[in-house]
Amino acid sequence: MSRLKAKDTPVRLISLALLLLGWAGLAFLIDDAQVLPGPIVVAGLIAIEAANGPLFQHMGATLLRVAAAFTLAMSFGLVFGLVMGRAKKVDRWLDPWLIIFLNLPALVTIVLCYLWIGLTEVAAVLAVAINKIPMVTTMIREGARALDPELDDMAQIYRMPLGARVRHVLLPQLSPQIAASARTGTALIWKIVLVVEFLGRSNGIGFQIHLYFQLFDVPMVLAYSLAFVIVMLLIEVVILQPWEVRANRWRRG
Amino acid sequence: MISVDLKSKSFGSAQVLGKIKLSIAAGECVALLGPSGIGKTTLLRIVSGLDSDFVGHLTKPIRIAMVFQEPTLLNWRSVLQNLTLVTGISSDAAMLALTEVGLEGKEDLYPLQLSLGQRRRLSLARAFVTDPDFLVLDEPFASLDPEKLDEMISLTKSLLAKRDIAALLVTHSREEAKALGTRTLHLNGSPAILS
Repeated sequence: MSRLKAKDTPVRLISLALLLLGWAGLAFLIDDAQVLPGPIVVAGLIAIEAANGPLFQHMGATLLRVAAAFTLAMSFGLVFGLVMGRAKKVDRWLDPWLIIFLNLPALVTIVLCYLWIGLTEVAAVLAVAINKIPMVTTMIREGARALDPELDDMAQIYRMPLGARVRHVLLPQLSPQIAASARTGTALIWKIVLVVEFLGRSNGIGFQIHLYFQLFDVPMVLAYSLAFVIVMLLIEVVILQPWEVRANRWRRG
Repeated sequence: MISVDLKSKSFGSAQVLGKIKLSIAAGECVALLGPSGIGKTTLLRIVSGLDSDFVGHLTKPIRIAMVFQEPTLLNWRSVLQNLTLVTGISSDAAMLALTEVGLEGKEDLYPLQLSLGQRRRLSLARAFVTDPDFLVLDEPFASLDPEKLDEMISLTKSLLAKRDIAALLVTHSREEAKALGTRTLHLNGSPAILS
């Protein structure tokens, strides 16, 4: 697996360089930085906002919301998914609800949360979590349905305590679904967080994008968006991918 | 002492097991033979306490160990942790158990890094390390080649000989039953009964 990744790295870097080159070429052709600034201009703006502007303050606010919504969504999704995957009766009752929530547009949840709870932090985080919980539930439910019943028997025969069963028997079997939920979760959650901030918060990357949208300032919109994309990519590469590799060490028989 | 007085066991409207009386004393290894699908595993699950949905009465000790058809290990935990985390024994006791089944030096490996024979040894070590009063072996030597099979039977025999354990061996093989069992029973008929 690691050899494959090492082989992939140059391709990925070249692919990324081509994207930047294409962007730079298009910006050169349009020749209007207010419509499409080139990557160097945007990088310069990111540097300025990071050094002298409020970039980190807004990024921090967004990251906190992402973390809170992620924790909520993963926790509730894990519990709901496990219960639905293990108890057929509960699954039959809750499955229609799950389908409805899966198809509920994010914008509807956000607007309703703001209308019912008010333009508060709780409403913002809750709106994001409600959007993600059904997806995590669905993925974990599939994993829970495929749990090895012999391992349950083994844990029962050897009288493993409940905590040990959850930690050493249950969760490791669900690790592929947990990892997939976590990765798609972060990708989806931060995008919804930006919408939530755009519509009803007074800080965060989404708020800044709203501000510069009103000023028709494309370079700053791109600067804030890209800065956050870079941070989310770093989280993926530095935290999520290594965790996934470590969690899957045992598969290399 | 293990004793089961079974009146019947059904799945839905289908009765699988009929009247069965079975007692196993300490130091005794009962081999249970029978064709596939007759209900051997069902009886084994009842006797081991895994299935309580039956008509009858079961008396069994608290300390039970089981060797499953498949090794049934925590493949994501090391060989040593498969003993310590599952049974709660100390690392030192686990190391001794690994030595007893010839897995010394393998403690840091993951189960999938072991051969099938070694995984079965680990499964045996896990069962014996708990010092059980009752050991249940559910076709524990399935899919082993003849050489490994002889090794495993000898190992199991020597582990049983050192302890005063009541054991129930479910198997298809008369040779395994003869090698390990002090008494052989047959499960036959529909619903199945012992003969």
